[in-house]
Amino acid sequence: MTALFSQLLREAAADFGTIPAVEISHLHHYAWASGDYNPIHYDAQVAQSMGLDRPIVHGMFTLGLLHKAMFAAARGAPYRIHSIEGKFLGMLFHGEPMRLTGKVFRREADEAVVWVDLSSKVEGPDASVPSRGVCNLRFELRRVPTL
Amino acid sequence: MARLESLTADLVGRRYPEFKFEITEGWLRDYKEALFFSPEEVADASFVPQSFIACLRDAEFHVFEALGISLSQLLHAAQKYEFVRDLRVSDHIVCRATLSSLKKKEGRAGAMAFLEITNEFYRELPSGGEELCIRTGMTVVVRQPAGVSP
Repeated sequence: MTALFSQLLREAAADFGTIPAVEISHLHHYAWASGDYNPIHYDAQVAQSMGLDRPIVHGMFTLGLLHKAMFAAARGAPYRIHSIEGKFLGMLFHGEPMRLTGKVFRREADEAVVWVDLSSKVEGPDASVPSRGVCNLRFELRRVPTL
Repeated sequence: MARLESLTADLVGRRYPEFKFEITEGWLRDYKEALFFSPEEVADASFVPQSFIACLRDAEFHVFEALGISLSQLLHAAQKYEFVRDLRVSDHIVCRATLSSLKKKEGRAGAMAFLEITNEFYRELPSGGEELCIRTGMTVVVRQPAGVSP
């Protein structure tokens, strides 16, 4: 079990660290792999015509990155991700790193089911600018039999 | 572009044509590379990330097309997943989409419709049957096309 996951279970909260910024080349690659070719995600002119400063990261890409972070944290732990409920709170622009924080908000049946809220935020350039919420995922982790 | 008036309550419960997918090694590799998985995970053909399901969206896109909704009218508000069984490489998957909820609201930015599309992904079995692997729910906000007064 990862140290991060042990801490999450023990202290009911853990800092999942930072996900590096997604760049335009990554957005092209994701569009190709996922089949989501909405140009708002890679064409600066289209993004501007929609009133945005620059292209935004696909919501499903962001969600995939958070999902992967939880999967990596739970690696080696006797839990499997059974369900996820996610809300998109704000846009993530390319070039913006996300800070992830995990919190256990419910435990059931002697920890056979553990619910974790994983939130992602873009931090402001300095302490005077509040961080901006991007995406919140609620994971239902179910214990699986160990060999 | 769909006007919100065309999105009526009788659409709730409507089922849309099924879409079929084969999970190929190449497709998986592309997805894992795009999501920055490690070289070992990318090379491991037996490793199918749960989030790969985000690539199997033709059924959802078809619903938008059938309703005349343009991507530029849409905001992705929420997403749900239930992972009943893990996907495997070489699986043949059938996806069936249903329009499961439709609510209209008057917001500060004008009228909006909240649509939920439920997708069920089944694995086709060699015996001819199928088994449910993943259920997803996608909630989108549909805005009135520009130039249409509320």
